[in-house]
Amino acid sequence: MVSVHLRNATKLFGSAVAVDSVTLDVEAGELFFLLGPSGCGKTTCLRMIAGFYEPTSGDVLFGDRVVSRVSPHKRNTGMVFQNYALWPHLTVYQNVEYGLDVRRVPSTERRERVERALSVVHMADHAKKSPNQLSGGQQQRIALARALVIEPDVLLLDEPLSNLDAKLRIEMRQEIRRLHQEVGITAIYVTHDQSEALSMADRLAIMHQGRIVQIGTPREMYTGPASEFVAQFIGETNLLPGRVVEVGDGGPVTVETPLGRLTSAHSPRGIAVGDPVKCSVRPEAFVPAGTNDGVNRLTVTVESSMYLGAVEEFRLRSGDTALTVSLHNPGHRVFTAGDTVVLAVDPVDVVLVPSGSGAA
Amino acid sequence: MSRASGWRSRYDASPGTLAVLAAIWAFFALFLAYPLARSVYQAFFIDGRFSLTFFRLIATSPVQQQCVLNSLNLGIAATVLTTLVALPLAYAMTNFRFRGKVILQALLLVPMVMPPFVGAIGMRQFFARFGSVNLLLMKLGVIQEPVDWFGGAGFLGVVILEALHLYPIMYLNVAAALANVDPSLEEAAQNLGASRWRLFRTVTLPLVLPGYFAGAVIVFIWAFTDLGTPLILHYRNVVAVQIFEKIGDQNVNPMGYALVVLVAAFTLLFFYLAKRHVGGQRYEMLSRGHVADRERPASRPVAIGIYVCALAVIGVALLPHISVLLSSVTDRWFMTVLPSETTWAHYGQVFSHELTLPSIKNSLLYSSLSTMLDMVLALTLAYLLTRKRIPGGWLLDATAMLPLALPGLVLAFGYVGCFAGWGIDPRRDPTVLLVIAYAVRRLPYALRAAYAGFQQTSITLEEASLNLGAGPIRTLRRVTLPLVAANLVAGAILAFSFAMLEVSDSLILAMRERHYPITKAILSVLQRPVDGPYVASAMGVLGMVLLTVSLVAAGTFLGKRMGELFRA
Repeated sequence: MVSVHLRNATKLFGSAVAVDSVTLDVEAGELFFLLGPSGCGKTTCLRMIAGFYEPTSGDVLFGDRVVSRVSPHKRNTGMVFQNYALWPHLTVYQNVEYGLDVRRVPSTERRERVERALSVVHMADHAKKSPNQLSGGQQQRIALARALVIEPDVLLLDEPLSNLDAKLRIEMRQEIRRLHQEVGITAIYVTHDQSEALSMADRLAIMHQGRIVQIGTPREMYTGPASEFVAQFIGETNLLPGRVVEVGDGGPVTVETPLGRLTSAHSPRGIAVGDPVKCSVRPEAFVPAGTNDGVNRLTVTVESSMYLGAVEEFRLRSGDTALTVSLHNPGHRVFTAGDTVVLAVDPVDVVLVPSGSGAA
Repeated sequence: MSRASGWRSRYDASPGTLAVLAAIWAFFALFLAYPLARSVYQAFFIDGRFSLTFFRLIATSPVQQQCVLNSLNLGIAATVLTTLVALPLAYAMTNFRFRGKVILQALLLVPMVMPPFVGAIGMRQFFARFGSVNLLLMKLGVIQEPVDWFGGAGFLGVVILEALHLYPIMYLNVAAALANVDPSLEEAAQNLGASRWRLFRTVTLPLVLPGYFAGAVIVFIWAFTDLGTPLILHYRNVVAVQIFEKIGDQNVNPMGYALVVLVAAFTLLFFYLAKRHVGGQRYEMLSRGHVADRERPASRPVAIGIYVCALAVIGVALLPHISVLLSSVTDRWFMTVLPSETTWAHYGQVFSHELTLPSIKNSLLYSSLSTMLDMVLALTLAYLLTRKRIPGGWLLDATAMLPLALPGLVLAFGYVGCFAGWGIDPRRDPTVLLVIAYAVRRLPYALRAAYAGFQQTSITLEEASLNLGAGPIRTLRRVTLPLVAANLVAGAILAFSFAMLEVSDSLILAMRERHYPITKAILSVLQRPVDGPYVASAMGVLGMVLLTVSLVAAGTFLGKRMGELFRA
């Protein structure tokens, strides 16, 4: 188990900048996520850590050892590839055994470890099969066993669940999370699926256009996005443009928006009256206003609704401003199109982000 | 960002890679560029001064004009004929499903197993003035007088023999192209209301055209520069024969060089034209995923129609083979439809004659050495081209594929001139140059086979091995090679069997009897009085058996991808 660090790591392909001066610290034993849209540089980062790419400038460190120019086969990382990369000419057993064979592990110990690894991923019965005979989910487990059996210093996962169907994906999330806790290994996981990152990560970094835009725990990221991009990328959100009209003493900030005044419990550092900001409010943060809600009351008209079972999603409008609101357990109170309703939102759920930041 | 690091980030330029690249370029420079350049120089410069004298001579000499014209006509006629035979067959075979299709498909490829010049030996017997066909027809009372089938000059005979030998290459190319057309593209057109003919004209045909041109250019170049068939049928007024006859006085008369340059210019032009049609369009539709079955069951009349046509083609195409087989067991065959007396003695001769047995040994030696060289080159090139970002990769690829457009004749003629007086002078011992000539000529097939193997093998399979701690060598040995082995073996078999039957460069480079490979020995034995044609036929049959076995083996390794190997 080892910590992993990127120090101003930059990777150019020709003149195209894939990764732009990324600095990152992954603690030993952590399940760390690199999250971002396709082309943001997350896979390039992972491949620099694995050693398939050499950084154009900057460094990769395992603990305090600089490994930027160490070849991939000398890094002792275990990688799970997006397409699993199981060797079709070897059996499941031989696939898992390969890394131990390379490491000249004695044959009795080798057998034990392969069998243990296969049983950890619940695949002990399939040892003699060819990878082509396995389903996607089973191949995924073998790929995981093959990476884990060598007891790598770092486990690297490159979109490992993207080829699975939705139900299996949820199952494997828990599976990988469980394995990570059992083995207690430093793991870096690349994905573009924000729900995967939120549900599994100890901490995550969001990347955009080759740079890291925010690092934190899932809860921090969701409730306190640092920019419009992060707010939109992680979950759905409503972004209401406005101007700061009042900054309380170390406390609430009030913003004038097209829907009326909104008060936020968070005050970003250095904010001042007159600043343009956007208020990020999650769809599920809105509730139908009760009589005792004093602040953050919004009067809007219901345009349309979409019933999704556990939640019902509403499109609402006031003037030019549209809102998306989702209500849980919608069996009881139902808005119908054309209704004018009053909604309330807790100041804690109103997050201010700099206006126009990373809107791309 | 300095220039040096810009280069580094663009290419994988480790010292080892650069050294290998340099070695490969040196090989091409010495054995491909130098002979060509020297031929061009000799053709254009007299005593160091630029001159168009020889081209003027070609242009003004009616004989030479006729030769060039004849060769072009041969190429065009063979291409047209193979198209007429192969296109409908390929369309029917890829679109219909019926009983016995696999066998019929295999039979269609059989004619490839014998080089046309061997077929010519037997066909002379069949179609001579008092040959089997005329005698049979006279006996049946269809004709009164013997018909001169190949018309004094023999043009028709050469074209027919070449077409019968080459149509499988055209067929494989077109069939592969048709099979690659994603049926959903055609379904989309049908969905938009296109009639069947309109669909073929506006969707299928344009998508298949690149494959067709790839086949057509191989057929054209082959027929245009074929040496063996015209020689045997005594159709001497073609460029190939003219060049062959000028080998002897190469040093005093640069006319041969001028003809070589002319031929090379023509073939390169046609290759370029075909390439422009093929270029870049080939892979666009290979987006695999769900590919619906394009075959539909054939109704009984359709199936019968296909059978009749295909069997007719196969029957005609096998005539040369049958004639050679008959001829190889003939003791007496004079003024009769079939041989009047038969014997196995000619096969005995093959194994006892002072010329034939060494020639078989020579061929085996040359071919296996050239195959090994091909494998090393193909493996290295395919690895560099698919796995490394190297400077000038496309140029390296194009150079390695160039021999497809380069007749063996041109290459061999250049070698004789270039390496006179060197340690590898073919006048002394042609082994090295024959091995290299065979290897260079068959490199495109070997390279395509290896290249396809690497392309089908996801690079992540190798990365997974590196990631688990295996070094590059172990990864190559344990992961890459086993995965591309089938392709390599297929490429090797093809390279080997074609090298065994290489005609033009064998005729030119092997100058002494003890160095003769099998093809030149066949031609030489043919000249012997009395039993010459029969012993030559027996040798041809052996060659046929060898190539059949090789192709079947290659086919088993490659399966449906066989067709890809015969693409330009």
